[in-house]
Amino acid sequence: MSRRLPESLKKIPHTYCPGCGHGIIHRLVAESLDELELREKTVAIAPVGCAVFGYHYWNFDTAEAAHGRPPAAATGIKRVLPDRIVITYQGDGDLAAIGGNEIIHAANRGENISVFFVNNACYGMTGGQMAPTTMFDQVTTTTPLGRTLEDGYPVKVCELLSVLEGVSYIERVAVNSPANIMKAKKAVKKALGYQARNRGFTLVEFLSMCPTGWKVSPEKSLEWIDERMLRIFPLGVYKDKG
Amino acid sequence: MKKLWKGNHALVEGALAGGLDAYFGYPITPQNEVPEYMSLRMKQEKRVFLQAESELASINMVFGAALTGKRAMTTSSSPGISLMQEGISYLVGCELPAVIVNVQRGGPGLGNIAGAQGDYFQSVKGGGHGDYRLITLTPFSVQEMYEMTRDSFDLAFKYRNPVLILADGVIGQMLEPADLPEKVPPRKEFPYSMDWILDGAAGRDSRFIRSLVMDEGGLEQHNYRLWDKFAKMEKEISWEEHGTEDADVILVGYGTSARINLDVYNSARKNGLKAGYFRLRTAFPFPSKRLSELSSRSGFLVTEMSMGQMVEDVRLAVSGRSDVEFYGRPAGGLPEEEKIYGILERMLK
Amino acid sequence: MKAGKKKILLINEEYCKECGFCIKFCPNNTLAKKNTINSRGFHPAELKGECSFCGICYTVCPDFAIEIVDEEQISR
Ligand SMILES: Cc1ncc(C[n+]2csc(CCOP(=O)(O)OP(=O)(O)O)c2C)c(N)n1
Ligand code: SF4
Repeated sequence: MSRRLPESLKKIPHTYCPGCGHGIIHRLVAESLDELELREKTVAIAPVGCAVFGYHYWNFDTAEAAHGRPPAAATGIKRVLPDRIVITYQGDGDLAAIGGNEIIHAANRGENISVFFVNNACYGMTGGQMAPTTMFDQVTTTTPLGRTLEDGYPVKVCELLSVLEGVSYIERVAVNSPANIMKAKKAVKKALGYQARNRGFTLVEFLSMCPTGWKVSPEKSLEWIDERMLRIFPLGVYKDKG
Repeated sequence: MKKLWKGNHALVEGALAGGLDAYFGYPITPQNEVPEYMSLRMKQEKRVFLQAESELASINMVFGAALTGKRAMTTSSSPGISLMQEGISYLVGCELPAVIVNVQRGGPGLGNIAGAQGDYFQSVKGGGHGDYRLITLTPFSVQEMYEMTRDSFDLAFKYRNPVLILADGVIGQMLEPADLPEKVPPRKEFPYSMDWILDGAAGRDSRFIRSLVMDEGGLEQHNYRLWDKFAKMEKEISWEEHGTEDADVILVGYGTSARINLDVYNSARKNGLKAGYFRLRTAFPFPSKRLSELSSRSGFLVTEMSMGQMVEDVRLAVSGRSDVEFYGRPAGGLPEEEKIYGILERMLK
Repeated sequence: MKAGKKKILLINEEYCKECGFCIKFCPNNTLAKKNTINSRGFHPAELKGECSFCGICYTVCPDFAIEIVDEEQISR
């Protein structure tokens, strides 16, 4: 099989850190849109976070919304252009902290959009501070002695949203091995396919490497997901209405 | 034919006449009639209505719809408009057209639900972060609630900038005769280029819209371009004046305060006082030049339903050439006619 | 896949950031870090020996730096 970069990616190098999962997830979204022939129908919302420059790398229509508000902006697009594919791409700070309200209500309305949620257990862009998804004992720049109970529990987005009636499909995947990446791609295609068939709200959570925020080597960051994240954030399908 | 209309209802009809495609809003008094009546009218006209989970969501839903080149709008009252400020700043930064209505109430904080004019600064000086301006229209009657809302979409698309309608709770709640068409008039297409919209990159290059400008000097250039645009908005300045040819003192107001001034002006003239009347129809751009001209022979008495905000712009325009006095009441207090009349008489002595 | 089509592994050295994922996961152990550096200061990956064109390196590369193409596609 030949493996060509998809048309949905622009042919330019990106500025993510070495080993960062964003590049892989960008490519999975782009490949999936190509394979489903949806590129020309897609409007995406990039977040405030490391992926803020998504529009420099994606070759489909993209805008950047205020921090945490991509689900609201996507709702605005989808409501006026219901036959387009509308996606948001959000980090854990964007989606689970400042944008907690918007994601819950978009999910609850069964907004027919696909959310690609990148959980890297920290705030990458602002320098590696605690995110809602930061785990106990994890050292970040604002939990220098590790996260404690005082900071609250890590937020489990898939578990939380899957109880909402409007949600049609939610899966948590990881991008730290070839097998996991293949599964992640299947999940992306499934979410987009559901949207194309007007099934309602879909979300894929990616456990994604942030070697810089975690202060480990790229190679170590792959293991870090297995060793530290999987226990708190088990992979799997949390909801599938078909 | 004139019929009795409520200001907030006339606003909805105006939006429909302006070709509104999508409305997003969150309830707050004294503008609840807007989302309520809008929810029915948008369904009837087969357009988009959505009650958002907050004003943060409303303004960002407007942002999303605006990205696609559709005519989008939200309405709220003071606390809700405060919540929207980040979103409004993004709309300006991204050069997106949208209409936002503030049916002002008393503040600060939760304040009260009476009509007030305490949000003038927030509206015309750039209420959110960054250097920016909004075209700000100030309706004075139920008829103008209709007309200004109708015409605001054209302005928003002409400049690719949000337009703010700065109303107040008195005008929103007021019932008065207004001449509105029986049926929603046919949609008017605008002559402006739409080569920027995001609707899927079919048969064209992909596009992006953003307000983050990180390249060296890029944001400075972006700001210069925006300011050129704000300067061009001067063309839209609009006001109404009476009796200014020979007035020694001119009453200045907007919205509800101007209505009160009009009564005072009429009785002053009846009594032979050389009073004038001036009201803003646009608060940004501000009719500075005209006020400056008038200051060569007249003094000014500015009234507001606040402790004095718009008066600062009058003082800047007049620049010390004549007297500018102020009378206002905050938090839903209506300026009293007798008081205004008394100050006017004193100034004319 | 049509039999007989000759494949080529393309490594865009300028895009590579030396994360080492392709090297780690290559089932044939045929990728390594180059001795030289690219313009951004990274040692790009290079092919040392036989490649089975399984595409795992393409799959794990976060930097859009690896593609597998049919030879005829690039000779054109
Ligand atoms: C209103 C607002 N508050 C704070 C910020 C600063 N900020 C930018 S990115 C970010 C965190 C992003 O983290 P996350 O969503 O986890 O994405 P990542 O960078 O890790 O991919 C913050 C707090 C902002 N831009 N806007
Ligand atoms: S800080 Fe983390 S998330 Fe951001 S680009 Fe670097 S590795 Fe990726």
